[in-house]
Amino acid sequence: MGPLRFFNRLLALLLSLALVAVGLWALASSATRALSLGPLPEWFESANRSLQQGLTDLSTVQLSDPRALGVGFGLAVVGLVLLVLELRPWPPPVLFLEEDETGKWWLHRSSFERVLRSVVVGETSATDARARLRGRRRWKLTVDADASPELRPEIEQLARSSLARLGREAESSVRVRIHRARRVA
Amino acid sequence: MDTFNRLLWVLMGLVVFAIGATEIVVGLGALGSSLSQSSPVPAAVAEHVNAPTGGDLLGLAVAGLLAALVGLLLLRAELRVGAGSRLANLRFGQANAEAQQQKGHTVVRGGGLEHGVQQSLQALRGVHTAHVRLGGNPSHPALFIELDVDQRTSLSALKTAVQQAIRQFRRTSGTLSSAEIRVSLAASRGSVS
Repeated sequence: MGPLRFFNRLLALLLSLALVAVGLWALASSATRALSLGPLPEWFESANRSLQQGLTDLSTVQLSDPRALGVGFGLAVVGLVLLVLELRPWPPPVLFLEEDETGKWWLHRSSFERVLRSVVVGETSATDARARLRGRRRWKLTVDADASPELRPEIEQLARSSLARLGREAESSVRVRIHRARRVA
Repeated sequence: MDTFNRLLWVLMGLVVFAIGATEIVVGLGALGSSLSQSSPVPAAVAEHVNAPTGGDLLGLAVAGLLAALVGLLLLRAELRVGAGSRLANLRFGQANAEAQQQKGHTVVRGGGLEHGVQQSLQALRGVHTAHVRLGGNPSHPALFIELDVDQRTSLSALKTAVQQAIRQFRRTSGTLSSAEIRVSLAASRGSVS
């Protein structure tokens, strides 16, 4: 599961728990008042009093108040961040490998990218590397490496070998981008 | 579920942004000074909260019940993600119910079949871990296989071995199940990454 999928699921879990808690609180609150039940736990009474006080205070605040404008600005920013995160294209979690008589084969994209990165860093003198695998029938592999330009053929060979082990070398294009290696002080 | 969650948070983003933007626009007086002097919570609402009527309490109870129900449904859906629909048993026997009652039928536990395939896959060279789930429906069972495979393993060699395990499963279960195999590459054991 990618980080954004995990983030979405975590948020949805928190939302569901909040809905259950608020719903139960509303049910309990209305039932106890309608049936005049008592005495109620102090924390429950205290929470109800705080809510009433908060709403009373809010009813005296004007929308032009700087605090209200600040909250509005904050909400707009949070909403915008959420929209940008959700609407930008997400990489597919799995890539189609092939179909044979026994079934369909898929590859977890991030596992390939992670492994290739560690291979490039572990088997060459590159100080850092990032791999990006995309595509449907035809794959496009881009490797960004912080390394000397002389390492380009070696890194490309490692990338091609990784694809060859999956039987996808012929149906994939490989692009290696070399970035200046950071100097160690 | 991923698509549902994404749509949910797009919707939430839109709602939160709309509330914030409306507050800024109204608060800055773009829609008239009388609106900018108004309060986010009308005084009438605050009065109802402080001294609720019978109708207010009923409304609060209904809203609370709805919120709790929606929350529980959402919680259940989120916690089921990944588990997928699981086929508990495979049934073999007479085609019609009457004949089945007279002569009986054979039930093969899905868990036993899953375990068998999983054991044979985990014994394969290059496979770190394997997870097998039997899904689909009784007439068309499907095998869902997750394989953690050593990064240096050749997939073509592995495929032959996995295909054999799936064929063996088909022979044992007597079904022509479809299979979906998802491969994750993992660092070689003992290698430094």
